[in-house]
Amino acid sequence: MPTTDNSLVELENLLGPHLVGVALGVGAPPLLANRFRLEGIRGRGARGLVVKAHDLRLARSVALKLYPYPEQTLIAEAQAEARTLAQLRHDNIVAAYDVDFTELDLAGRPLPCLFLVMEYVDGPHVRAWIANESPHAGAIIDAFLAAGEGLAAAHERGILHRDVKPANIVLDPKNKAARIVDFGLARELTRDGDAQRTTQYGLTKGTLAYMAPEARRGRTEVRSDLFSFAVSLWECLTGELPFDPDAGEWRLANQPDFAGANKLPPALAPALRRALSYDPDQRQGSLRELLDELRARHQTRPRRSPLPLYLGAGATATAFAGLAYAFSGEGAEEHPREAPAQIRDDAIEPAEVAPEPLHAPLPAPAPPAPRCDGERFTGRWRLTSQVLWADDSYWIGVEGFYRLDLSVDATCALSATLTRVGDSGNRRYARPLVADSAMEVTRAADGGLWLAGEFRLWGDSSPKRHVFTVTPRGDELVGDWIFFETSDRPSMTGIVRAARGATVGPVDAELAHSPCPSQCRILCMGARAQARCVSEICATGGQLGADGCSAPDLDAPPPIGAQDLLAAIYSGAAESEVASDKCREHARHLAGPWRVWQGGAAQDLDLVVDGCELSGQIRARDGSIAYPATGAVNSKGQWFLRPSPEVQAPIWALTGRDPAIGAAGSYPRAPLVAHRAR
Amino acid sequence: MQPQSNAAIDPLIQDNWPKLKRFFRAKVPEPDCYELVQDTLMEFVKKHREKVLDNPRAYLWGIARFKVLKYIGGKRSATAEFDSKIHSVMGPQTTLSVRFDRRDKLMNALRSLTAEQQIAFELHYGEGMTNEEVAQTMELSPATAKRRIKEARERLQILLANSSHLEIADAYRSG
Repeated sequence: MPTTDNSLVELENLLGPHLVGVALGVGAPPLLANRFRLEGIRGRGARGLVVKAHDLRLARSVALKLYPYPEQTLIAEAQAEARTLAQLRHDNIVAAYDVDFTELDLAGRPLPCLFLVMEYVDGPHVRAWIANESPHAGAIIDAFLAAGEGLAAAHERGILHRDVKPANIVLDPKNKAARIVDFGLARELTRDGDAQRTTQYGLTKGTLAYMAPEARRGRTEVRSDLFSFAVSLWECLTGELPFDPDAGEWRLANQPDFAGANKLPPALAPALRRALSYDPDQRQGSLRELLDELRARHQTRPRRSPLPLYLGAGATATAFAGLAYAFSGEGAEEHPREAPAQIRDDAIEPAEVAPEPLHAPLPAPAPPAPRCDGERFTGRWRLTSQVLWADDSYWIGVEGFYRLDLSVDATCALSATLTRVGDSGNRRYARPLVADSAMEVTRAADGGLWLAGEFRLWGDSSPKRHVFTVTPRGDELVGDWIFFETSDRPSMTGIVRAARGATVGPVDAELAHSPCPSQCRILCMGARAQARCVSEICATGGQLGADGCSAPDLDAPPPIGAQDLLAAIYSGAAESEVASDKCREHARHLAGPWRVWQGGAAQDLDLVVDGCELSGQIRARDGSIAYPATGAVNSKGQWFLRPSPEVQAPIWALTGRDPAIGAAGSYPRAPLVAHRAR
Repeated sequence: MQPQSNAAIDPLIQDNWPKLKRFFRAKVPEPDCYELVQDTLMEFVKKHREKVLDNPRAYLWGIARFKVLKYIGGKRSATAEFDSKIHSVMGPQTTLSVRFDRRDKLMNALRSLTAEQQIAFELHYGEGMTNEEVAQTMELSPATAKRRIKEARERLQILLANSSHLEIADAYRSG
């Protein structure tokens, strides 16, 4: 079903042929409101058609935005708003001159239209600019900083934009400025737009993908524009939207991390992440504050002379050929590849340090008095991870070996290079896998420092992510490792130990010896359950017992192995495996008492193992339900339990030993988390 | 300037403008897509006036195809020669994700085909051309045209597991 307004397409299909006719000498150019000569269609947004026109009265080019079949009752409101907007004059804002209503006569059919008269800018919007010119990060950031000035100026006048997005920033060839366009016109006035996209006043919302959570609920404010600005800049720098545009409320609130984070220039990550906070109070207080933060971390070299970035490819009819957008920040270096700066009192600009090849000897150690938290982590670390839980139990106990090189820049932003050297499963890589990323340092409630970062070791487009979260313990770092084979759910989790120097000692596989937040991340299923565990148990210095995690997040996706196993059993496709050493080996670890959460309900399980077959008693914690179940383990250590036939209870499928994670039931599926009872 | 109201616009232009527009919109950014529509129609009308064409539709779409391939070829960097049999209209220069709504998802899958596959698919399923007409427009043998259409359909089915190619054709036509 098309989301573009049908009346817009109708208008476009009427106007287009008419203009071709004019070009062929048939008929006169269409005249709007007896004043504007329509000359060419420029674009079609979701709500209005943009047309280049000539204002016969003032003898200048204008851009008209046409809204066919507007709601009559809202026209006056639009005109009032336009009057306010018309007072905005700023180099980085495309001026809106007027709003009026008329009937456009095309081919004898009068078409009622609200139209907005705007300054005409003969340049591409940022989206088209990036697609065609491939500017590097510095130029993109400069463009956004400039457009941000305009937006901030509007905020200071009490005017919100409501629809900040890359398509609403245009690049003006005349004054080489990035300018923001389409203010306040989230009040779109179309007749047959998608009903769900309107607020209670019949006004269409802004573009959902860029909208702040509170704006989606109709409470737009200054920090909503800030949010949209950050989403736009993020997208333009990384090529990915930080949030899935289809994400509902809960996802926005509980997003584990933003897409594309590893492609972001590390220096800008903290400021942008803050601006993307779900809670407006967590964001910067104003756009001006965000701009200042970004500007401080984006070191532009002084411009010697305006160098043209890209020359147009010959003289063509298109608007952006032959134009030079001389934003500073030009040059070969892109932020992600800039060499880490040496830390000295007189901070050297990154460009003045020769880029170091990866795996080169370490730079000189940092000065003794740390300026910021990140500095105590700089240098080289050897890291070992050990798998505690995996979708395929083959991996349990396997160790991974890494090297981590960390450095800070003058603004205390941490960047890191992770190299995976090998693993105890005896895999050798033809060449080591390497990834760069930003890392973040946070202080926990107990004052402890935590260092976290996410790395993609298998190429840009693959979703495989390694997330490390560690804290100092003596001279070492300890913590947890979470591995995502696909983008939305962990496929392995484990413990991490890191040390400086040539070797790391063996990882202590006893989870109870790991820091409490790491235990939460490994044992609890879902971001909210983990957060609750950290804030309720760890903060009070408690220890996680078998009951340490409360109910899993109901919407946490189960491991793929468990999901597939469950689906196979319910559809009758599962075949019992012939008992083999492998499944016997896995099954041995499963015998005994368990504590299980099935969705929101806590249960107990007593498992008896016979070869690869399982049998057990499942009991609700309050004793209200008890029933027998039988099942089996397969060679991947994935296991299921089927209630005896007379019992109306769901089938369970889980992967792993302690914890075991999975799902129950066919549809809807409840998440399952099981811990060995001690 | 005396406006001639209701000047009779050639039905040929009236009918084909929307079709060419959605064809170009699916491959070329605004505002250039509109210029290409205009250029195509102007060239076609000129030729149409000069002589009688055997198959005007194939000729019109042949111009459109030629213009879009020339446009895309002109936009790519000097180091990567555009080859419509291999490259899609979204070159490596397209760095932005456009995953906003269902129609965009469908259109982006379409745009990720090779240019030839995309055009063959659109002409056949979007414009209702037969195999033979597609072949004539694209200057291919009928067997090759058929193969391009099939490749397009299969690849779309892989990219969009829960959409049929007909849904994609609908999305294309609504543009």
